[in-house]
Amino acid sequence: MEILIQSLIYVLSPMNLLLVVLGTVFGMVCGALPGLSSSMAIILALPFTYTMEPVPAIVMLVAVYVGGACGGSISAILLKTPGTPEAVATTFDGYPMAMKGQAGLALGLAVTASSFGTIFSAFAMLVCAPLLATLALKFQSAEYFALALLGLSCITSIGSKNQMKAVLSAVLGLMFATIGIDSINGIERFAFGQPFLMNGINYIPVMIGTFAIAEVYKNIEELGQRDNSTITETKVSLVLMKMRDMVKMWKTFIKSSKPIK
Amino acid sequence: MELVFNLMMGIFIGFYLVLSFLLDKRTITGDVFGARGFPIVLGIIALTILAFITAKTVKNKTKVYLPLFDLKSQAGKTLVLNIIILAAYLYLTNVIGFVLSTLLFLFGSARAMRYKKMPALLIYSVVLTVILVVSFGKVFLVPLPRGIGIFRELSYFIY
Repeated sequence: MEILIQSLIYVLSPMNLLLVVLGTVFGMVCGALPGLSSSMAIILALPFTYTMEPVPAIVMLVAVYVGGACGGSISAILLKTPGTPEAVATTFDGYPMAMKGQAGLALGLAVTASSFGTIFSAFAMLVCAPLLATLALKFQSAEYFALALLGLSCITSIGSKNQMKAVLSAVLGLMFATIGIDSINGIERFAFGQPFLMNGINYIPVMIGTFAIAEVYKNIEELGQRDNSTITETKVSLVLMKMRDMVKMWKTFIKSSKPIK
Repeated sequence: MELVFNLMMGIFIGFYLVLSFLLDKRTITGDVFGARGFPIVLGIIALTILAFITAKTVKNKTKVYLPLFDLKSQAGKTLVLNIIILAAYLYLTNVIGFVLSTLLFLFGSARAMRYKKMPALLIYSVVLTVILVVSFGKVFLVPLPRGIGIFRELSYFIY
């Protein structure tokens, strides 16, 4: 406990807090730009940490990662293009809210949920890390298979309108995942001798193609039929959640929290 | 229209399946499937599901309007033109470099979408290209395509 308090005092020093703010802002900018992920933000911030002490450097890099994950939801809500892979699900609810003129509320929800998720998952990791480490050692092929199966079965809940199409999408996703070098046999699959395909398909171009380009073409389709009589709100202000609203939605908040990698 | 889309999807999956059969048969002990087993299984599953969806579409006579396949409509023409411009852009980035191809793409795609104000269009194309090159090429040091020949040499002066 004593070590924990000492660490907390050290992390909460003014210099470290300033680095947290700077790191989060930088991460959010990178996260909001589709094409620059949280990992890319960390790589860009890395040279600045070479001259720093280990703790402030780690504090800043964690802040950059967290900011990046949160920033991904900005473009997901406003442009229907997730800035980071974590923000894909935000497009499902966030963009329709923005279309209804509730962009500020959607952004506020995303920022509040991100902040809560980060703090909650940090505490969860603090308590559960030793237990999880023991459990992780027991993870074998069967457990990994079960985990993958759980992920795939989640598709049925997303594509509840037409489950056959949802399953076909999942199979197509698996087909694209086979591109590159086979991890077991080391044989090249569907790479056509192209070096950039050897490691498989990168997430970022897929996301931009699936969400951004699709949205652009959808807008082109509707170009001549758009109703221009609707008054659009030009000023978007961030609406942060109140504590009582957060308490009301505590189940969703806890379910959505994930530990920092 | 959905049938046309399903047909295109079927051609793609069929192509994937044929390529899967052509993959190396070699495998290591303990891996029953080998490198080509998993893609073959996926291809067969995808074709089966696609056949099922197509049969259901035919049975229910579901009609989905896709402007992409309606070249008589203005939206269809614009959409196809934009797809061609995008494909040309992807090809040209590796030939004339990122700066010139982006400039041409932004101008061309906006024109294809029937934007008519030339001065505004020119300013938009130039300003956005500069922003993209500076932010990604100079600030974030993303390796942007340089093109070939003289375009490659010139690109080193910019990013």
